[in-house]
Amino acid sequence: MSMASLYTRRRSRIGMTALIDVVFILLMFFMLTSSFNQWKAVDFRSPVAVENQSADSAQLVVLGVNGTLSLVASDVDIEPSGPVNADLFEPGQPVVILPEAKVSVQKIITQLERLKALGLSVTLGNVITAEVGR
Amino acid sequence: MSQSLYPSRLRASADDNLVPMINIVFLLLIFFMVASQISAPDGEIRPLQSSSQKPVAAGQVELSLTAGGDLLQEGQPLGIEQLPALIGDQASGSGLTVVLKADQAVLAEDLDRVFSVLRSQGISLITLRTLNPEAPQ
Repeated sequence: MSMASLYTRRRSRIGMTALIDVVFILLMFFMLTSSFNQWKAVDFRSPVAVENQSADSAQLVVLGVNGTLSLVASDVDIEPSGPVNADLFEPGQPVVILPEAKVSVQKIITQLERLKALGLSVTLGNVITAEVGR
Repeated sequence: MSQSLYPSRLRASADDNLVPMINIVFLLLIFFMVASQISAPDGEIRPLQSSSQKPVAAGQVELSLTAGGDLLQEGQPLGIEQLPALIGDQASGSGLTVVLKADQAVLAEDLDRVFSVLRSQGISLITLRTLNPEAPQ
């Protein structure tokens, strides 16, 4: 076979149908499994560290099922929504939230952020029973 | 006459009509591959909402907690009694980070159960995955 015949031979076309099949399958896979959520972190330091710092000075707050915050020391209740009086808390002392067993995590996060907005150092303590908190 | 007007080299085949579509589909494919993250199946977990702006650092242990209090790792059920072994396998020095994706309806007692085990294994920082509804997605 001469070189000329090699170059003049009709070039076979690549079929597009198989290619588009595979590409569509890949596209469907990525569309169905991908996520565009921008996750944000809410960190929980161990309350052990807080206890080691100053167990006596930690301000304990009981979080009720209805979202009410109750300060253990002063026996003051804070409504689930609305502004929080910053004077109720000692600025330099850590706050430990003690949720009741049936409180949802979303309520914990919401109330934790309310207190953090006051510039307080807030962490999560152990679950308590409703009777203990009262 | 008609033969000369349409030479065989330029005669359009059926596949030629697919070329613009393939271009667009390739662009979409590249967009999804580059811009998105493949999420592990974790059932129907409604993400927690917060106003946090802090991005989530990649955790060495990624866990999910369903509304029923069931613990998952990479979509597979994980018993609470298996958690210490998992942490023990992962622990390579100090500073092991655990990232937890919990459902909005998870109860404090279920969260406390997981936190207690993690803290007993020496984990001092646990991160909850949340979504900020006001942040641009």
